[in-house]
Amino acid sequence: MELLSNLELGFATVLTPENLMFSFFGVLLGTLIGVLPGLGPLVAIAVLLPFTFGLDPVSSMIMLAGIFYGAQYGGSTTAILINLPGEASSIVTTLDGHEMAKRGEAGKALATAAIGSFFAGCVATVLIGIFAPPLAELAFKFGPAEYFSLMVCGLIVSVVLANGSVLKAIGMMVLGLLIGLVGTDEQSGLQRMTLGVPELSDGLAVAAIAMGIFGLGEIMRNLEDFNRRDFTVSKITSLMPGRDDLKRIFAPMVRGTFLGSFLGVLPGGGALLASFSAYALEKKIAPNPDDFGRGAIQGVAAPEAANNAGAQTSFIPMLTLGIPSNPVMALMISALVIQGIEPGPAVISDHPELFWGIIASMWIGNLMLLLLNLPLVGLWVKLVSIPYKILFPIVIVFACVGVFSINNSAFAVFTMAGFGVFGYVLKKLECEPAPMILGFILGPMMEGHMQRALLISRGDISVFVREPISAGLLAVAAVALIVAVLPSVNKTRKIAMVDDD
Amino acid sequence: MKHLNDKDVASGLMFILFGLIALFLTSEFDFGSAARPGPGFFPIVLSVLLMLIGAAISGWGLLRHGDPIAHFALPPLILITAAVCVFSFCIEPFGLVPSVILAVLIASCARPHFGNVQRFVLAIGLAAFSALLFVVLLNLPISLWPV
Repeated sequence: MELLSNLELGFATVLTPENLMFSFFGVLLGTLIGVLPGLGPLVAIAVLLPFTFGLDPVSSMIMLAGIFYGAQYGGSTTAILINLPGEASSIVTTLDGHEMAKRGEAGKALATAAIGSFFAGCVATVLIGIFAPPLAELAFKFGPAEYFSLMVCGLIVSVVLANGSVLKAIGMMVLGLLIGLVGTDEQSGLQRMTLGVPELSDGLAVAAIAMGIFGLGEIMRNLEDFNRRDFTVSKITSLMPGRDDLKRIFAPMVRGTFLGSFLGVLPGGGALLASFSAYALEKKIAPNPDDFGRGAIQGVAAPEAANNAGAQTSFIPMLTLGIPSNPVMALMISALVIQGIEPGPAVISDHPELFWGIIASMWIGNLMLLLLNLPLVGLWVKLVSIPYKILFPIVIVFACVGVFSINNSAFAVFTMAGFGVFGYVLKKLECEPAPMILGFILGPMMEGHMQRALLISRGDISVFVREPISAGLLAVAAVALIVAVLPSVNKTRKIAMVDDD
Repeated sequence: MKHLNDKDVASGLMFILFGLIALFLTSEFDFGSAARPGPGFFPIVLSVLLMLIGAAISGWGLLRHGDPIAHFALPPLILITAAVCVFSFCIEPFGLVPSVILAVLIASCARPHFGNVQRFVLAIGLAAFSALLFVVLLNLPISLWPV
């Protein structure tokens, strides 16, 4: 029972007063930002990154992980109470969750979301504990050729799973790869695309790009509506789900958890796709699909379980391969690097307390969410009623200070401004930015692995298809790409993404 | 010209433009060969690929007549960008407090019905709050005032 002894190490790491406190603060602060309209986990992490600088690596990751699922959960709270998803993955929760709230069952919907998330969190924690170590073992066998093909595969899958046009998503990915190459070339030491700007020799900062595109771009879009609607907050009646309800949500919760766990591992999948797919699945197999959209409790339980499970399992590729599966994980990687830890298969063996500590903290964090959210719902509601005109300057200030403090770099703040404009333009052009962020992170790594693979094979390019693992990964990428372009699949993909509105 | 307003055509052109810029910036580097790639290999291949993708998107847009680009709201775009830029220019010479005040004053113009008193109260309040939080509590090495 190696798993048990490993988890024991994890819990021993987390169950110190300090780490419990950091987990608690992470969850609390994450929820605090997550409930604010338009601010999701990515912005929460970018803004709160400076809070973790003074901490040791374990505590800082525990806190960041707490921020991540706190923000995830905060989004669901506003989705239910005011029909406003805090972030994209809780869009489907508005469909039935807010309907329940309108019927006076807000308390029940919130409790269902919390229970679903907690259940999914428990299962996902165990799944990570079981599957991550063998994956890291496998990753040790990976040479440069395998890594290169794995990244190609990951990028293609992320493109296939992205919202909207596949071609545009590929364009965004390639653009991201190019932007990632800005800076000093590892191999030759040459300055590429730096325009002679000395600050660019280290490349662009991922936090500045992410914060600009997702934070500032979103604010600009929100300010378009001259008179933003006032939110009407549903009354919260404390109606815990009864035995009947629990019976009804159990099966959807289990299905949502496993679907979400699987999709979370896929690059670009993560929580968003998980919640949409889980909702679509429940609607398809429900005996009375007409109830969906009219306050079906299963329509809250399944996507909430799925998005939480997906959020957690998306840690797997990051912790075992050092490859981010979504922009949030890209930020997590840069946070680890700031702490002096190079994410990759060696993390489990070199820093077992970090690895298992994060996993144990996920379970603890989920428990805290459950205990924190239901009693504090009143506080979250008050936060939501802060007028937007007060809110957005606060977010801008936090974004500026946050991005500045990562490297004490005023240039990073300037970069963020530029990417804010770019993010707004991308929204107008309906180009999905997530593949770009993944490409940005993977660009330099891919180039390095490609060059090393060719060096080892003495310039034989067939090395990528000769090694079985590498060939298999490239085959998966090719199939995924073909499938995505086929018109019939494209149509169902669109339906799965849009479904009801 | 009216096609320029099509979302797909415009996105494609954007990709072509970025591809051109990247190609222009990296064409000086040694391309090498597929077997022995030089520092120019990866960026040049990617920029050409990006231009091809852009051309495909634009072409597809011309054939299909997609949706026009929704209206650009310029005032928030300019004001938010200006606020962040001013912060980035002021933070090193002038310190945190003046930078935050300036940024908030500029950004808050993006929202009408903001009373002047209210704006100043918010700006000063936020400056005090962030000084307390980031410098006093979190101990980040940021100067508060002009040095």
